[in-house]
Amino acid sequence: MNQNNLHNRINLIFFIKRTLFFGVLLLILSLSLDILITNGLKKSQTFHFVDWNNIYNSKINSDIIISGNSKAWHHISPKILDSILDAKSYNLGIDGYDFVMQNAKANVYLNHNKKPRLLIQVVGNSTLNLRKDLYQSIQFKPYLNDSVISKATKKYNGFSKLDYHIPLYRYRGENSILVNSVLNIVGLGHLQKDKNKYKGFEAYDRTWDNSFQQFVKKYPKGKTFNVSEYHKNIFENFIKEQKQNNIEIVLVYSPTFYKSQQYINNRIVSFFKNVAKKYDAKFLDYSNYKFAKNKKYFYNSQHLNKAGAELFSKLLAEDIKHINFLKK
Amino acid sequence: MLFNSIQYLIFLPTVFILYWFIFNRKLKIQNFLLLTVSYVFYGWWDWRFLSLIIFSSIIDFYCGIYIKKAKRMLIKKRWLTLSMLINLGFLGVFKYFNFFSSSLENALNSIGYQVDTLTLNIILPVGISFYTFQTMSYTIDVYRDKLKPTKDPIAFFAFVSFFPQLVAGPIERATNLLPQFYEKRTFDLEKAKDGLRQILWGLFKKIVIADNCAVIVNQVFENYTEYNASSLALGSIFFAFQIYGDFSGYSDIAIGTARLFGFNLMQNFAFPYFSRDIAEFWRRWHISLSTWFRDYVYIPLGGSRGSTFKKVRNTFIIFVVSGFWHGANWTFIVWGLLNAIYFLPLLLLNKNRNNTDTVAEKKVFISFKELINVSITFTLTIIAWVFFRAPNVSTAFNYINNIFSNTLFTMPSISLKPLAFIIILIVIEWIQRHRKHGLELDNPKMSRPLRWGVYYTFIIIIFWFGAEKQEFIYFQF
Repeated sequence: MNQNNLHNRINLIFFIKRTLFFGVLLLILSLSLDILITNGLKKSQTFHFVDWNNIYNSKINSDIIISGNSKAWHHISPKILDSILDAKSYNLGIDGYDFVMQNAKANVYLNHNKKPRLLIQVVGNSTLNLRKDLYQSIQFKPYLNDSVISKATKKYNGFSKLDYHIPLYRYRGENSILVNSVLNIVGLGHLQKDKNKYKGFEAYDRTWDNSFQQFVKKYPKGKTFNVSEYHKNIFENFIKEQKQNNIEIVLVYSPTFYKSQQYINNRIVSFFKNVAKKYDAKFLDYSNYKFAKNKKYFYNSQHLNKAGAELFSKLLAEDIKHINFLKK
Repeated sequence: MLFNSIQYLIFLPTVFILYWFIFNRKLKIQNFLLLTVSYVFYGWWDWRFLSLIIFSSIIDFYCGIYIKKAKRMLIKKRWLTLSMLINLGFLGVFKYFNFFSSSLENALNSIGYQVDTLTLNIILPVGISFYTFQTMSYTIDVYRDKLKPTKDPIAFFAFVSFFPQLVAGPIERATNLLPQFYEKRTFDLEKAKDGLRQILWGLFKKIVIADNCAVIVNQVFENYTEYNASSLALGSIFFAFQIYGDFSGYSDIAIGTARLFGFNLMQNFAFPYFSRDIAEFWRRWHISLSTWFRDYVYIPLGGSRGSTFKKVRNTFIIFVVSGFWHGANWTFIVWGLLNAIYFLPLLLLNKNRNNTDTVAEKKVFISFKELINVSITFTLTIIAWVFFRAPNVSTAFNYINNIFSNTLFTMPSISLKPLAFIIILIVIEWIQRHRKHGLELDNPKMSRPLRWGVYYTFIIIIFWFGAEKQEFIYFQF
């Protein structure tokens, strides 16, 4: 090797070493930033993170857990349940999601908190119907390292492989997340604290909107919901496991505006009834309850407003009290 | 394979290691590696189109040899014609057939003949306009005796398909690039370091500037009737920066990548939006294509010599052909015509070479007169870009018409997010306007922590503010 070649070789190795060093520093920098942002978010009390943080920080430890989608989140008030049942309850309702994500949230709860005595599982037609997109995906970002969340989020279209494996990648472009995290790091997280949620529950003080009319226009012959076998299986397994863990279970079909029911071509009730029967759980069907005919308790055909939620929560609490589940 | 993809992030260092450590013993083997990885790079889109590039390479390789061998000019000309026919034939079939067919149909229908012409359902092979022009430069230069034909097929095939500039240029001249395949490349540390900086700068322009502008530009151009005049004006400015960031960003990445492998590609953009007139703009925009047309079309036609009629004719030919090169649509032709109209007064008044230096030479700030000239030139290019971006000519006219309405001085209703990035771009390019690219840091006083701080800042900006991945615009050409 002549002098020139040797010199080039040395330069080449120097270049590679320097580039690698630059890359390693970059990796350390992005990993540090990732950890910093994640830690900030894990203290956040904002809408998307408050419940997840309460769960992960083992702050819930309730006697009663309410699980389901927006019909759990908007319909069942832990405050009312607590006062009537003289117990601690928490609402884990997750807006817009089917049972895959509901199951994940309940499992994360069980992994980080004491076992509840009673699980109220709100069910309906969308429970067994997988949505495609990862709705409000921002809420999962700090917890992608948790295998339960990682497995569940992969069922939906939302995150790429890079989000899971490249430090900081999941937060790119999320300026609100950055601000949120920084505020929590410097102790100013309270400035963004969610004031509307109480123990995971949030009631909407709204009057009837026209979304039902739009639905009718869109589906004049009614809508048929897909029912997934995979969902049926995980639902049944979940109920079975919780019963084996000595957790009492109430499946609740919460009220929907009565006219909307005639536009659902395949109301799924028998499956939930059968599962309840098979595993010695209780199935409470409020779908046709008398106030389901009164628009003043709903803000749309599927969701109760604040007045409706209070009324329904009282009714449910009284029924649970009557069943005497918590005393078992 | 896209430059702004994870695949390329793996591909590039792998090829770099193979190139300098495993295949570095013999030049032929190193060239063979470049050829193979270039075909992998190109085949990543659609391996079927590899046959076109291979066929084109075979034809031009042999045409070059036979042009040289031929004793009589007539025979030389025949071989050149064959090369031109095949290369332009590919372009004609894959890029222009449907355009000519439907234009003929429209023309006949308009004079009362109802005909249904044939249109083909063909996909445009990525980068076909770039590599056919590159390979044509070879046979033309051999014909003109400016270049000896190569007898090394590996070197020639690697020259045609060299992956950094294969799909979107710079369109290299055989006289510049091909000889680089004959000589053993040596690793040049400074060149490689600057290559990486240029790649970083290119990624910034593509991912931050172009892709962020693209999101808004697409909205505005697709729904232009719903926006007020100020939004339309801003939308067209964003498009000017989108296409600049997209295309010059690609060129920077290409040139930077080539430098890592010891190659020098020509500069393709030289801060064109600081041009003081259209002639200067065309000396600074897509230089490799402008000079290609200058050398192979404009000068053979007589250039700016001869009668006024010839000057006007040649100017229109060169700009219309240049527009047509971009795509089979009347919008590109009008774009070319418009640039010819802008350019012609400068040519006829002999002022087309007034601004051959850099704006505000040896000064920090621009003078008022220069600022006015730069602004006028930029406005003219924006009007032309509207034709370039619009789906058809009538939409472009309507778009421009809507800009000049009474809502021009109201608040725009579109996101202003890209503005911040555009300002960063303009400031950096202004500071660096005497250099080859925006991140060329040749100040020896600049300490390493400071330099690395600059790199990390750019990486974070690209990472954090980069928009959703978009294809490079020029791939469609």
